[in-house]
Amino acid sequence: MTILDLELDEDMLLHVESRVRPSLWTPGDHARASQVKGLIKEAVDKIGEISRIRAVHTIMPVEFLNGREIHTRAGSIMSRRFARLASGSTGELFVVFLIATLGQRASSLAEDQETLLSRLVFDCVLSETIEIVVQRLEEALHRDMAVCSREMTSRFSPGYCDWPLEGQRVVFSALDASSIDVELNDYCVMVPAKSISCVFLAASSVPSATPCTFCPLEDCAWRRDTHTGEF
Amino acid sequence: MMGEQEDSVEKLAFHTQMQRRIRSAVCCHDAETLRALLDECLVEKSPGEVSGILLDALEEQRLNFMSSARSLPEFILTIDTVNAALEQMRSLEEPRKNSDAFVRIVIGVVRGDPHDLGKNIIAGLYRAYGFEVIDLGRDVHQEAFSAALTTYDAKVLALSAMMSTTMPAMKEIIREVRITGSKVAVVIGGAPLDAEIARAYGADGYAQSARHAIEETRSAISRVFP
Repeated sequence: MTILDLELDEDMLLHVESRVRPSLWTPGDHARASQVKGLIKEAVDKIGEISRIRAVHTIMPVEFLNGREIHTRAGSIMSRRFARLASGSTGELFVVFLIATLGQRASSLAEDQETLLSRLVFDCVLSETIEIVVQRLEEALHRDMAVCSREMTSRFSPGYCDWPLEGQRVVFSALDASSIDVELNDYCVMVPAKSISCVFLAASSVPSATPCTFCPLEDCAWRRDTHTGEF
Repeated sequence: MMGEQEDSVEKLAFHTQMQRRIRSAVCCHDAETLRALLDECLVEKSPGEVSGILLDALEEQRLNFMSSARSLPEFILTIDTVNAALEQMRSLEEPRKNSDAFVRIVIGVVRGDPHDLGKNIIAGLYRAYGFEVIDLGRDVHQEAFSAALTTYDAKVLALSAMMSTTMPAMKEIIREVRITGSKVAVVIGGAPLDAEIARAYGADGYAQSARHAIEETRSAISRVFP
C-alpha cells in the first residue's frame, strides 16, 4: 500500500480554474461574470493554500472473474459491465484501488462561506480540484504500469454505472483509508466529502479504457470515450 | 373628488415607478439600492404590499432562470440579493405570522448524508419567496424532523438526499409523519430521486431542481391544505 502527500501546483490550479468557469458561466452580464471569476480565483487560491491532499493506493491480483463480479482478496467488485471489460483483458489481471482526499479543512471551506453564490463557487472549485488530483494520480499510475508493460483502464467508482455505492466497502477493505484520514460512514458516504474512491483494471492488455464500450446507453450523461476515458 | 383622483393617480405612479426600480435592482443584483428602495417604499406601503412587489421581481428572474435566459450563478446571486434586502423587512412582518398565508418550512438533509449545497440553495430560495425556513442542516435523524414539525407547527417538510444509500431514509420519515397524523406537505429532492420514487415514498411533491422547487412546493401546499 502506498500513501502519498501531494501539493497542488500552479498548473493544476489553472486547470481547475479553466474547468470551473464554463459551469459557472454568466451569459451576457459582464459585471456578474467578473464577480464570479473573482470568486473562482479566491476559491482556487484558498484551496491551494489549505488543502492537504493525500492519497492511498494498492494493487491486488484478481482471484476469480465471472460475468457479474471481479473477485480480489479485498472482496468482489459487483459490476457486470466492469466484469465484461475484465474478461476481454489478456495476461495476469490486477485491480488497482485508490482513495484520494482534499482533507477535512478544505472540504468544509464551502460551508464557511456567507453567501449562496460563494458556497456554490467554492463547492464547484473543490469538486473540480479533487477530480484533477485524481486525474493526475491516474496519469502517474498509467506511467507506472507502462514501465511494467501493463495497460490500465480509466477509473471506475462505486455508485456509478452498474456498480452500487455499497461497493465502497470493497475499496475501503483493500486500503487503510484511516492512514489518510478518510472514513466511510454507515451509508457508504466518504468523510471528508471532497474525496474520491475508485478502481482500475491492469493487465498485459485491456480491451478498452472504460466499460462504456459495451454499454448500449448512448445518451448516458456519464458516458466516456472508449480510448481516453474522458467524459 | 378631483383631489381624490389626483391622489390615486399619484399612488399608482408611485407604485409603478417602485415596481420598475425594484425590478431593476433585483435584476442587477444591487442589494444596497434594493434596501434603500424598500425603505422608501415602506413609508407609503404596508410590508405585505412591499413583499408583493419584491416577489414579482424575484418571480421574473426565476422565470428567466427557468427559460435558461439566466444562469444558475446569476439566479443564486438574485436570491442572495433579495435575502439581504429582506432581512430589514422580516422584523416588520411579525404580524403576518398569524395569517393563513404564512408558511413555515422545515428543511434538512437526511441522516448519513453530508451533501448540503442543494438544500442550502433551496432554503435560500424559500426564504427569498417569503417562507419562514427552519433549517435543520445535514445528517438529520428522523426524530429531529418530527420534533421540528411539532415545535414549529410547519406546513411543509422539505427533505434532501444526494446518495442512493441515504435516500430510503426519506420513506421512513414520510411514513412516520403520516402515522403521527401531522398535516404537512412533504416535498423531496436530490440527485438519485425522480418523480416515481417520490410518489412511491408518499411525498406530496418532487423538486427536481431549484427551477421547480417553488412551483412544486406551492402545488403540494394547495393539495394538502386545499
